[in-house]
Amino acid sequence: MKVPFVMAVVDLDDGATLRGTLADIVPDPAAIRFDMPVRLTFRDSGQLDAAGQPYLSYIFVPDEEAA
Amino acid sequence: MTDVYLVGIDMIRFGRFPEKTVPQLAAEAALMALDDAGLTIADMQALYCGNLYEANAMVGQRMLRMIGMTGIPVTNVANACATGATAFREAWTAIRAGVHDVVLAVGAEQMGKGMLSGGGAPAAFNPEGAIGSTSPPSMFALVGLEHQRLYGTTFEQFAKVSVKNHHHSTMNPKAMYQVETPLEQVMGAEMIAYPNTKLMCSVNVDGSAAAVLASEAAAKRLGLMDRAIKVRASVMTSDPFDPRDLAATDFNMVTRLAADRAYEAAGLGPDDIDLIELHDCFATAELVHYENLGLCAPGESGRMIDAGETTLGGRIPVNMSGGLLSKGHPLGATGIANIYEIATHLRGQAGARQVEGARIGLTHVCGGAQDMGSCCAIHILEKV
Repeated sequence: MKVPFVMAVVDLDDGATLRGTLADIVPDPAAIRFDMPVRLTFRDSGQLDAAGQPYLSYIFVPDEEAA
Repeated sequence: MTDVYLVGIDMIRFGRFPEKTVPQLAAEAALMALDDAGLTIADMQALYCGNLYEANAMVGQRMLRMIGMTGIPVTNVANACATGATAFREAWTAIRAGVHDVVLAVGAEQMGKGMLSGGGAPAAFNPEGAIGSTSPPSMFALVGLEHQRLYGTTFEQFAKVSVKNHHHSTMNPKAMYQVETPLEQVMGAEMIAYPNTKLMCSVNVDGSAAAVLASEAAAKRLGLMDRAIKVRASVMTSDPFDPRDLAATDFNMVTRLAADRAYEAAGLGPDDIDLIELHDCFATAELVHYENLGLCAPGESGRMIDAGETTLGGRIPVNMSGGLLSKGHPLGATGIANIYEIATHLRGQAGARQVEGARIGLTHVCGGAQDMGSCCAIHILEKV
């Protein structure tokens, strides 16, 4: 795995809470704000299964529009 | 139900002993604790043996092969970072219930260097890094950052915990390390998971600790009341339901629940406690546990560490042993080693780090794994 990465705990609008990786952000505490709006998307995780198929995973990214 | 007394306790100096087996480490501490009580393995009616990494390998029985196969019941215990405390509490429970009246509790662990992996079998897809992290450093980064989100607690305040505990361990010959770590060194160390640097993570070491517990009648019969320490409370909890638990394992509610029950069982409050050994697996954990244990109001722990209230000589000294950050954290031994530290102060035998006049002490361990659960054990001890 590549380090550093940013872990986020996200309270969803519908009430549940989800842990994930926050991408598209500088991995620096100064660049990350508590309670910043994010949205969930799906991306290639970079990992392959035995048949060479990529695993997709959910990932959080900053939500520019909500900000 | 009878009161339960601690009549013998000891620990080996924590360190790295790759040439020894886990049962060897356990046996060393067991013999030391028996010597401390002036008893032998033949006096023990049961053994509770805590160990995590060889939980399927009969560590207790293998230990008895070295120090005496007396045919007593052996219960091997595993419960994350509360493993040793759970063994101690099972011994307490057996005596309290009247099943046995002299019982041995042992905790031992052999750790590799470096970071612990989470429990469970690896999946084909490795979520580590892709879906946040389940590593212990990440769990306790979250613990600290949630406190920072709520109360503005700073990286520097968390780092001061490590400065304090390393300072305390310079006076503890049984600690892994006896070196001062100034604030700049702690804050400048390699970042592991913000806001915890490498010097703010507990040290993975090998170690063992053991305790002999007795009922009041047995302690009197064996002539051990002059050295007996009364177990005023022995409490264990598991994580109560919380909607966020699936995303971030709870270490706060599980501790608050245990603290409430322990103070109630002892008929005491936080102001009655003279010193505390709490679970500083990471520097961030220590500050939140000041509040969880009721040493200060919510949000006040940063101020407490700034004011030096938990340093030797302060209002309520915490982790005089050096804590997990500097004494070391051999998982299965930790929950008995912290009882050893409190007992040593209550007996007035802690040397340069002695908390003067200490009469009542509290130990706390709290462990868990992301997506699995958490556990907490608290003991309150009093010199009678």
